[in-house]
Amino acid sequence: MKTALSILAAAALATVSTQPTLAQETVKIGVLQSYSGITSLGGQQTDFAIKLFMQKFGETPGGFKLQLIRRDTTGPNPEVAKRLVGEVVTREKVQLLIGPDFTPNTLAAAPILSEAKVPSFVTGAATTGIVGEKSPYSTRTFFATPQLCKPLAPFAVKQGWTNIFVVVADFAPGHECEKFFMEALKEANGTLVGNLRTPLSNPEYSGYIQRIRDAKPDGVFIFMPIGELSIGIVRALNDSGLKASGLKIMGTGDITDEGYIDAVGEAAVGVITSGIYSTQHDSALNKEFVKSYTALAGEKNRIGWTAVSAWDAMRLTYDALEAQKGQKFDGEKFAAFLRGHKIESPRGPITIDKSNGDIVQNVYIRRAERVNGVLQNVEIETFKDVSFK
Amino acid sequence: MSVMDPAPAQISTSGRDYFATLARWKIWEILFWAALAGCYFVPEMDRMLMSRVIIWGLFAMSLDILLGYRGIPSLGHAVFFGTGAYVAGFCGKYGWTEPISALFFAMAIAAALGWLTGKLVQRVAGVGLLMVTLGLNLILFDFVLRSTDLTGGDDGLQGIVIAPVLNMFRFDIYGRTAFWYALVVAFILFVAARILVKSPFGLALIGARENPRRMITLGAPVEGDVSRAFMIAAALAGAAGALLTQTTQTVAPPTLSFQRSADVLVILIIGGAGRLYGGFIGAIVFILLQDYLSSISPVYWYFWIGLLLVVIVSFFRKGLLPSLDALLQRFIKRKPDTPS
Repeated sequence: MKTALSILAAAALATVSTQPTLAQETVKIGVLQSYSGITSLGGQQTDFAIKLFMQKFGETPGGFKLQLIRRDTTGPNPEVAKRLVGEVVTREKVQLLIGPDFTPNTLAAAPILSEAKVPSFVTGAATTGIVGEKSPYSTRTFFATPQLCKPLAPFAVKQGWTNIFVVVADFAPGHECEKFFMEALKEANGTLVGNLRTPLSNPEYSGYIQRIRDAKPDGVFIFMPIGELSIGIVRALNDSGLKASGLKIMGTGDITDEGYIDAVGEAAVGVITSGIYSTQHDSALNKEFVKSYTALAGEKNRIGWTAVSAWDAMRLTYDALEAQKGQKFDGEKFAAFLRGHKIESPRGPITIDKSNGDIVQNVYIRRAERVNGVLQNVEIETFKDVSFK
Repeated sequence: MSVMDPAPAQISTSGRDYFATLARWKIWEILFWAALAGCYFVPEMDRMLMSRVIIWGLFAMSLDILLGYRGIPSLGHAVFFGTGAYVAGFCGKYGWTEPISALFFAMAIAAALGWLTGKLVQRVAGVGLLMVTLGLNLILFDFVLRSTDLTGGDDGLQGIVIAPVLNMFRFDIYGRTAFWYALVVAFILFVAARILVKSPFGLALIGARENPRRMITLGAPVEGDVSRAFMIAAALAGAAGALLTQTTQTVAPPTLSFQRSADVLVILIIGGAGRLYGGFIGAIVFILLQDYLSSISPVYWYFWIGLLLVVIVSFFRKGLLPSLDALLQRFIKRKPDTPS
């Protein structure tokens, strides 16, 4: 069957080009993630997700043989990212790219990808507007900042928590998130009773906590970069007794990320977050995904959003390659196929926007709870098909 | 002392003859540059990578003027590299897209900063100097990282446009223009640096390195030379930074991080300080190793780099070039001035 097909394909191609064709074309996929330093968790999750996907669905989608080329972006470092993208595109001749991660890296890669017409998946950068015009071959499977920062405002007001205090870390994504949240709060007729921007390198929160206490809000909305600062502020709010006195702690999923929620500990219980994925998501696909991922990566490596984004990038890749079965790989067709494409992801249904390749997805409001003794983000409400704008 | 410097017995009585002998080009020098240029024609050669090697070589050479010739260790050399890089970036962003003039401008700004730094540290020596240069590096890094409105912070400078070199050669993704542009600029600056260190000024620098007190008694302006050496080194480092920005159209805070200052020091030490070529040799070894290791082992490549550095430094105490040089000397049985 296979030989018959390839003979047919070869015959078909021979009529259009004199080039001899291989029975099985190899598609090289560049995987550009952080594999070293404090951000190496992203690379680790990406690797697990890709490995798992290829175990489950085979290594030859649409008759194409896949070859992975991995490189370490070392974190948000546009110079390195640009060099690596240039290298894998010109020297290794990759036809697809998963990554690079982080907004600065994604921005730096865009001109090369546009010039070389290499489709890419954005699996780890959330800033608005980085896919679309600047990189017509990019598809985002992560999330866009407004998707996380807007929904909590109407949710809070609906619960009767109308006086909100906003705390963000003082860096570009923090400013962006602050803007989106405040807009949404105004739209929902909530009241902003105060806001703070905390420095990135100051884990001492007591002064800020006092200012929150003085403003007497019903709830506080937090946006912090993933990691230490998120752990610090949730614990500080808990230790100050504010949480016990009834203050609602809200924030983007970063503050109770599965990667370190155990380090936050009891302080996390009851924290409300907006997120795109929780291992607790109730669907058959997710149950299966969690089970097999845990079997592969072990209990200790909990599943983060990067893993799901990489998984979805693979799903989209396989779908697009199947659609090109028997033909020669065409990057432009590949990117075009994904526009408007809809898939079922472990996080729920997602759609790639027709006009610019950004993602439309459900956003979940979750409450951190202990489930069978393990801290989990339990979904309590769903905002359907939230736009990336 | 080495193949490059004539043996003392040979020094002629006339000063002019002495400097003429010093400045004569050796055959292996011509071979080195020809080989570097020849890399372009090797099929499958990553020219973008080679242009990076050349840029790092130039950067390490600039540190060599300070460390190798004047004996000033600097832990903040990335300050000048980053200044050049950002100035070139701002030029590209705000409409000054012509690369060559922007390169000179970047060099001038870096040189001015270098001169100021030199003034600041000329009375400091030893560990104090390390700390001052390190401090300057950290201040500038934090400034660039925090001024998000001016520099884009972590995201780097966006919207850098660089016009084709001489209005003819566009910077392409295959690094064809980048390679020649970097090579030609590096070569010109190398020649300039070579003339400088083989001049009386260069000799005075070496003198101050070996014995500053004696130089003072000879009436040489030792302190003034520090700021001048800083200025020259900064201009060269600024040129390297500007080259990097122009060939990649990207500039971000890591260009002036402490890590970069440390890397360039490592490169110079690997290659061997005090002979201009050490920086280039070190860059070839370091950058190619980094590239190779990070591609075969994306997760653990830092480990292998560290290990290899330890091995190289313990087997070639003074750096690759001086060690090989000594080996060669022994091989030709102390026949001075017939290196090859």
